[in-house]
Amino acid sequence: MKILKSLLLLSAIVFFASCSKDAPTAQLTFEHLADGTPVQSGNLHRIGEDGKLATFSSVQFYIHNLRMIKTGGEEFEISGTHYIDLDNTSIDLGEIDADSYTAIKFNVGVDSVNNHLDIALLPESDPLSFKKPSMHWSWQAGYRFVSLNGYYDGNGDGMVSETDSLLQLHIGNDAYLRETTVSYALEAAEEEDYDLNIKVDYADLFNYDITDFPIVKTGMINERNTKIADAIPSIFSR
Amino acid sequence: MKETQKLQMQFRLFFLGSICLFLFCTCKKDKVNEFDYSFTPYKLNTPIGFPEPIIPDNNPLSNERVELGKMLFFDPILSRDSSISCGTCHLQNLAFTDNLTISRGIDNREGFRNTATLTNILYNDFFLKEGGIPSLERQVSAPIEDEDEMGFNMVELIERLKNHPTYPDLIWQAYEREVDAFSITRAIACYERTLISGNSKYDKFYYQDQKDILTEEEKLGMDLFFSDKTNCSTCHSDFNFTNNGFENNGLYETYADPGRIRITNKEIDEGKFKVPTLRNILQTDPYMHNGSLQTLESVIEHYNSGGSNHPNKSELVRPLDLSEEEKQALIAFLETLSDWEFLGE
Repeated sequence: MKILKSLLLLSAIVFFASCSKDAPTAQLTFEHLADGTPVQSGNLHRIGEDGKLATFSSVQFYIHNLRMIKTGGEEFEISGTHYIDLDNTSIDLGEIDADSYTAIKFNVGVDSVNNHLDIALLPESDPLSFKKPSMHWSWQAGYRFVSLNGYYDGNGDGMVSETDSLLQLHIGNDAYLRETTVSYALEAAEEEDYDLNIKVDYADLFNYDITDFPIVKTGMINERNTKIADAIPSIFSR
Repeated sequence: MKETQKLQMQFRLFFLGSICLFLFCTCKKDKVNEFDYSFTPYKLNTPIGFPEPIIPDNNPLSNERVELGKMLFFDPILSRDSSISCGTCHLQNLAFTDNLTISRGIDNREGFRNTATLTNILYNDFFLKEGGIPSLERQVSAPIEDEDEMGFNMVELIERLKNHPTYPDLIWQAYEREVDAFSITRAIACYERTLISGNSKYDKFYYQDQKDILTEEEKLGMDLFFSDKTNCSTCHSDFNFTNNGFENNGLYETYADPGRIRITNKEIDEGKFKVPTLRNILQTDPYMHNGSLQTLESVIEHYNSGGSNHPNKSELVRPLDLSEEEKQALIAFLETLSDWEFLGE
């Protein structure tokens, strides 16, 4: 009897929800680039102040405090922390207000509370659960906000393979959480579904010599690491 | 969309929702495991004079959990190429250290620091030498995912254990869960909490009232250790010979490994490292965060000299003007902190 009641209740919810679903919906998709070229297997990118050729095997980042900015300055908030990598490129924003928008704003990284919680307590489905490659620094019980892994042309032969020099840029640390605003004009109308696209060009993060620092982890605060973190907002564009 | 089409779509959704709910309510997942969940409380043998340890609410000890943790601890399955286990660097007869200057990981990769003892690790408040990890459970994933230690990945490890012939059943038996990061980290922490050392010659003298057990030289060393002349016991204090704090002991004027500042980002913490327990110190050579002092003699000599100048150096580290007899006595006392039963002899 109980099951029957639940069945009827859920069915009613589904029925009425489907009747009143008239708000616009949207997805936000990130396009991974480096030096203007899509990040994918076999693609070479020129990065670093010394202009090294590189390939990326993985690019990963977290965002949270995602907001769509309306023309009047009011913010439409999308809750949660979101994980993006080469396979998971989109965030389902669900229903949004039918309104006029000028920008999309978010913080790159994990907020200072979630950043230091016990990752093993989270279910696999949680965006903050263990990832492959790892997005967690166990030694400081915190997350990598942006993690880029690959190889660069260390011997200068103009080619890059997995036998070349390792390239790593792992950005984390509460002090390196950065907010970014991407101008994004949108007139969201009822009943419509929107694909919002933001480009991420990682090349701008390599604002140093790759030869000198092929492996960079920003666990500590210093001038070089701060310069890298300060470049985060500018890697996102429409 | 026309109105009739819209209505048709809504009724389809209604029908689909009803079917899904029906299936969800009637299906019951039958979990078949070799063993049922079992919790046989594990009684820690707290030595005389030691406080009752604090055990996390979400990880009480049971025989099943300790046994599972021990299996995992000594199983190289935890490393990328299945070549090393926790026990590779943490050898019991060496008080769960390895006698290497710097620990070695998979592919003989050089690690970052000297291997820490696991002696009485259940009493530690912070883990790793800069103290960035706040619980034993959370420490477990550090060596597993460190590129220069086990070089593995928790997601891949879970998959590997799920396909193992016995671990899924043992994990179910101990935690009533499928293989996951929670059960792996909790089980290993349970085992590590059992590594209690409190039956050394010193313990027999101090806590077990065997007043004739120490030699005159050892007693002289003990008096010096606890005296204002050396101030050893200010940092290496209490039952576990550590204040669980962080100190700069003047090892260098410039530190290649900056220590606790990595966590706090405060200049005052540069060159500070966690004060280690001195229990079983004879077995844990070489010494210091980087294994740079090979012998107890060199350690005593370092403190006797007053160390290098560093703005964060502890005020207690200053020239001690110890005689040769006093140095030898201090070493003799430190040797009484070895717990041979704990060391497996």
